[in-house]
Amino acid sequence: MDDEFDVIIVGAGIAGALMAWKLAAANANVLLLEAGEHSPERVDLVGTFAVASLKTPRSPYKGRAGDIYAPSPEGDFDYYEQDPKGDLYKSTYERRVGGTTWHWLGNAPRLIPNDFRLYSQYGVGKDWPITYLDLEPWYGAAERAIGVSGDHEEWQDLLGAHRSEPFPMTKIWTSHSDGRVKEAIKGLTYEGREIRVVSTPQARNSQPYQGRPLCAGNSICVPICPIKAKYDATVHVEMAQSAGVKLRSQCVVTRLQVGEDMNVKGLTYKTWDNVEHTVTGKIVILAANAIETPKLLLMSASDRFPKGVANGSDQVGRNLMDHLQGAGTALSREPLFPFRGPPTTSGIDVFRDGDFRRQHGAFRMSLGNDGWGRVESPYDTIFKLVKSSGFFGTALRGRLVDRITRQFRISYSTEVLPSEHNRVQLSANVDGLGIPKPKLSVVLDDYNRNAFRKAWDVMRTIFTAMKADEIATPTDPNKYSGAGHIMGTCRMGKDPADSVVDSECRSHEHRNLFIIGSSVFPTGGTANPTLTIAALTLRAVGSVQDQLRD
Amino acid sequence: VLEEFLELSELLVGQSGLGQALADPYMARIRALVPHGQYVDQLITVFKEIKAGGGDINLEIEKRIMTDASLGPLAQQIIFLWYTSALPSVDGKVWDFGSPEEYFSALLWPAIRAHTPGLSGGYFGHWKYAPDN
Repeated sequence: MDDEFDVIIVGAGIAGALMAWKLAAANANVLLLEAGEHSPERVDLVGTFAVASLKTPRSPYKGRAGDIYAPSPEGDFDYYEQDPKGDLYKSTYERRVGGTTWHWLGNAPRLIPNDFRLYSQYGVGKDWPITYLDLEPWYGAAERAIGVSGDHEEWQDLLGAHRSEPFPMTKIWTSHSDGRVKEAIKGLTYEGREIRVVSTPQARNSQPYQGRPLCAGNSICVPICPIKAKYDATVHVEMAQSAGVKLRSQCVVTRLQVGEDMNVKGLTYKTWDNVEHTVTGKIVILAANAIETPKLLLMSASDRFPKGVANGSDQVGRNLMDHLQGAGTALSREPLFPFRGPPTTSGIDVFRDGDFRRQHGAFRMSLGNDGWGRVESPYDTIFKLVKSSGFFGTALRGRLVDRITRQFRISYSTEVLPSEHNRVQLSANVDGLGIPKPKLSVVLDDYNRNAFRKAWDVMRTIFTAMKADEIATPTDPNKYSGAGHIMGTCRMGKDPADSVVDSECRSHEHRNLFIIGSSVFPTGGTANPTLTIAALTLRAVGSVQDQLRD
Repeated sequence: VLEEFLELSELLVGQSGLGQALADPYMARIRALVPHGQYVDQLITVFKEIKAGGGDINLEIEKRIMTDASLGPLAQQIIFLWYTSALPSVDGKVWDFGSPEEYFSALLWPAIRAHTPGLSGGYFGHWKYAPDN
């Protein structure tokens, strides 16, 4: 087996797959290593989901050997070790060829200009070393690469974000429910802002794209699109392989080797039979995720690099972020007919920026097409009606239809500031290959709690304007769920003393080591991170190619 | 017995025309339920008596089945099975599903004029409009 390559990429998710595809198309000899396995046939995964007791994001993928040799988190403690003195990190990911895009929702908004200059503008967080306009052309490239459907006119200059090109596909049609809610709250304001409902840009097809079909509204984007109308990174894994990339799955990287000249010479990985292998490359690119990437850098500690590789700043693993979420529910006065179409097709984006960011986090809101979402599933509803209320027969059916067709939820996804105390370290616990599991420490603060309270208030304002019944919003500011938006931990910056990579995603200390993915985000804003991951990756391709030519 | 099971199921879920193809596997799953499965024959016997009695059948089902300590919980499981294809744990937190075919045949979704999650059978954008089914 070959063991020398131009470029070795660790992680076959969206960042690794896009990078591999671009480099191989330019004739580089690329090895793409993936800790997890290839997925079985999509139809089989849907079948596994169909009979899963709990319809969780991992439900189609569980019960396979990867649970032992390249485990993925599902709950708060089943893979992570969490600091008992702190709060809980709630987000999870998927280790397999294609990565977490297997069960991402598909929302693909951009960050906005003030997200890149949070400290300069509001005195909190950190500035990025690049501006929105630096990344703007790459956002366009990313939208074309993964196929984003959106409304160009609606999003042009929204929140100050200029768009230099239209979306490659027209928007995913908004739902019947979106339309009724939009009508009911027309002109409604909150603290002087119009609560405007806009369509959500989504990486699912509104026309045939890349040989993939139109979205049919199968409604299970999370955990799996049955027809691949939603983009997932297997698209670019396959394109990369066609361009000559060598993909090795079930290969868990355990250590980077650094030469005397400070360049990374190669790395060691374990196959699932617990045999070690070593490969060398002119360039090494880490594209795991914001937990597995810092874990690998920390695992590569040695006498020479006691804090780990690329960690002279001591920032590797720190500034772990997510978007903390919650939901409010109500019964609409009229049937909205949920459980049709993608889980969300419209949102409220006006609270993603404002002077309030000095005091509390910004937030993005989604209008659901999935009833009461995670607050109460239809299974919960029928259970209550039968068990608690004793309904059966036509009375049950009537009550069931009346309630579920009127269920409506809004969810909020809030900004989290970077903090050195929120971090990834190595656990003393190990997985099935003897590799340390991640140890996570996070602490919630008032910047988060006050954002939750504001979001609750906005939701109540909306539900009240809808004249809805049974309005329920959360009441405990210490309760939240994760968005699956794992960010930070190897942040980019101008100063090597407080950042891990430069604006090109290159390690400050090891010139041939690149880190791509959401681990390099200095702040997280409120946009679902995948499109920004893709844009930063495509932007970094040129620097990798320049390095390769040196 | 299967005929009575199907007839009783239709009264319990409030819908006629339940599929014969599912009656077999559902009866088998109900019989295998612990502890409720042991009361299946008693349930069918009581249902036959109700039918023979000629009274208000829904009233009699409520009185003699739904409020009975043994037969009530069994009847509730039959309702859950037809509506969801799954049998819930005592607290309703965990649902035990059968086959993918059963999942896609659950009554709940068409009842609310939606589709089983995972199989819309619809065209792009159908969700923009109120359902026409």
